[in-house]
Amino acid sequence: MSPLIRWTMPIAADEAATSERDPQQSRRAGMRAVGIVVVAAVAVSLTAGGAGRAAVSAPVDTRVPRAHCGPGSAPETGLQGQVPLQDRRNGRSRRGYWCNLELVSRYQGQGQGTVGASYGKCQYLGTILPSAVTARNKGVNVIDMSDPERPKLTDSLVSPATLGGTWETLKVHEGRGLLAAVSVGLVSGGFFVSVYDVKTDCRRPRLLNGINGTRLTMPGLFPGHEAGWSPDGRTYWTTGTVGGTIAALDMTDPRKPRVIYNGITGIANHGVGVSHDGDRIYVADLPAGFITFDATDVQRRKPHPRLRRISETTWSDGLVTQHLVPFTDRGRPYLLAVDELGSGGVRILDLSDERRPVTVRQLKLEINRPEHVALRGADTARNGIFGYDSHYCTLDWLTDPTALACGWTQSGIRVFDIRDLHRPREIAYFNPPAQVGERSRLVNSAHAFIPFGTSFTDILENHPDKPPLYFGETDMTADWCMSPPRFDGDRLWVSCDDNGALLLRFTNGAYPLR
Amino acid sequence: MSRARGLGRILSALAFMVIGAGAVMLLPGGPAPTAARVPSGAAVDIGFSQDMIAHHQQAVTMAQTARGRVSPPVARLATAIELDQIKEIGHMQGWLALWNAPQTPSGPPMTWMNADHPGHHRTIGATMPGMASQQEIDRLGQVTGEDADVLFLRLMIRHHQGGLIMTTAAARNAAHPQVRALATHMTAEQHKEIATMTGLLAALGHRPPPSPVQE
Repeated sequence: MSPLIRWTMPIAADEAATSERDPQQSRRAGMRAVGIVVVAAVAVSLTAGGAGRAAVSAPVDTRVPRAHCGPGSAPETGLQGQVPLQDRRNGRSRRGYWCNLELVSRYQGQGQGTVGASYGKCQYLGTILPSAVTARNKGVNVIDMSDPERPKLTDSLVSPATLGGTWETLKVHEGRGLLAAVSVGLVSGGFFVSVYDVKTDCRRPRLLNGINGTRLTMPGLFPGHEAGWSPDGRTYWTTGTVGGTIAALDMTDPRKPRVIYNGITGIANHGVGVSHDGDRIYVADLPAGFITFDATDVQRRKPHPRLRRISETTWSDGLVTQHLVPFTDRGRPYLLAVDELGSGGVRILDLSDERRPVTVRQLKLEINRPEHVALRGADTARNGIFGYDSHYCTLDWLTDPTALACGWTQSGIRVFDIRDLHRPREIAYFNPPAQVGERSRLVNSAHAFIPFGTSFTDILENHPDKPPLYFGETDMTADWCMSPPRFDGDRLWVSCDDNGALLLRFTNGAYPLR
Repeated sequence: MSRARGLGRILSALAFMVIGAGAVMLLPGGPAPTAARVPSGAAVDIGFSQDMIAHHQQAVTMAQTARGRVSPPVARLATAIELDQIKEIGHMQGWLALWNAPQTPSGPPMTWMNADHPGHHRTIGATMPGMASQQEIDRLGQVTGEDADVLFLRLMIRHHQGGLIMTTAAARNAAHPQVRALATHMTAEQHKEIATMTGLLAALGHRPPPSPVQE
């Protein structure tokens, strides 16, 4: 799920009302009447052999025109999304690349782990397991950026869930002003969840489910690797990569999160997206694809709830589907599916028939195109396991979105105009300065922590160990940006592994789109 | 982490194994008329499943040997690997049972890969790459503290690297899409686990072992 569910207008107590439009209002006034998803109630017969895995095979256009970079930009020197080997060797990548997006504020601290979150003027940096031992400021660091000139660390969230390894569970529900995380540890943990109130004072989140006012929380049986809020904020879904487990936690009373469903859905689960009414969940099903479930039982809090499978959708162009975001455009339901590896990029599926989702468009950067497999292999041979791949994306609105922003691992933050879903184009990017030589300081960066050298994104095209496994120190020649950006007027809140918390501003009128 | 819950997870993992094994035992002798039809060219699917069960089993053994000897972060990783691989063993045993294929190979390992490795003949009778020797497993059962952490991580990194040779071959060449999908998933997971273990090893001030893969 998009970690920042733009469903109700956030009004943080510690800030003036923003000029943000109510996301519930459709961008196009004339479309308001149909700006609601109408999900056909489908009775699924569970004895009918189940729905087959509908392979999405028809190739669609994947190209996205480059952005026109206006004054003040420092454009990329190679292909779209590329940090060329030459730039990595001669130091050019240490200055970064930007186009119609400029840096307003940065708080690097100790770096951050994979997925961070933000609310109001605050950012929350994810953790990796070893930092529970090695970090100077242990736990989820809270960064206050209300004065962009002087961003500061105001708190650090230390609880069983936030201490070591939040991976892709650190998510804000914007409407309720809640921040939650699950203890993931190294790969796929669970057992502890923390819920913080960030609405009262985002700079000093209050742990709501601590035992008798302590930082300890009750353990429970649920998996953890990814997590996502339902749009109404009452349910927090968690999934585990080990064993395809999934659980729903009732967050009606955030002081007492309760497990209301715990089950198994597939071989291995990744991210989860929830429909606007909470009646459908879309679970990333590895290696590439997703399963649509009827989650009405959970949404309505029925006793003995079950998830009913509606359809499975798979594809071969891409690897390790990361997460799903359902949205509507001109009254039609769509799903955004982001692949983490294999240069699958971002996929837009038409959900009009939820039993047969159809891919209508893919978004890839030039460096992701098949003919550039050797080039990207050479570029990323010494910068860790992730290459030039999309990871977490956000739409500016869930109804009639105009723009899509993604953390695209080694390609930085990428922003696309998607007013016409069939003809997306890039409007801006920001690939932060490479932090060469800063490894030892960045004890909380998942990128800096892994010394293992080479990207395996094209593993299925490459012969085993071509390029050979490299165990030297990662060269740190491009950051890993894996977090979902958050749109905020003409600004973008985001974090990257090595650069930490970033506040960016659009320039040259690139955004908002009129 | 309560002992009872850990035990519960192990018991449930064992249940998977029992179910898998039970499925195997329930098969009547000889070719069952109801066995799922194996498409021609499924030698890769069968060979990969048989060899990967054996390969996974050693990872499970190593994780179980390390129990109680390694530090909490390494123990959590070991448990995750153990549960995951036990589950995958059951998965592949189920396939073999449905295909009416033997659970164990009758010849040397990895012969199903020769098509994938032209001019890359593995010595017949050799063990699979990355496998630990019995002496190494024995030593893992004797060391404690940081020595146990380092030895476990080094053995498991090498073991995972060896497994990648088979998973990538099966991800490309298996006949069944389900086998290709699981092999692909294993490839991605093992790569991530290798990276994590290498990071942990580096945090302990040690370098990873040389790759078992000789080109």
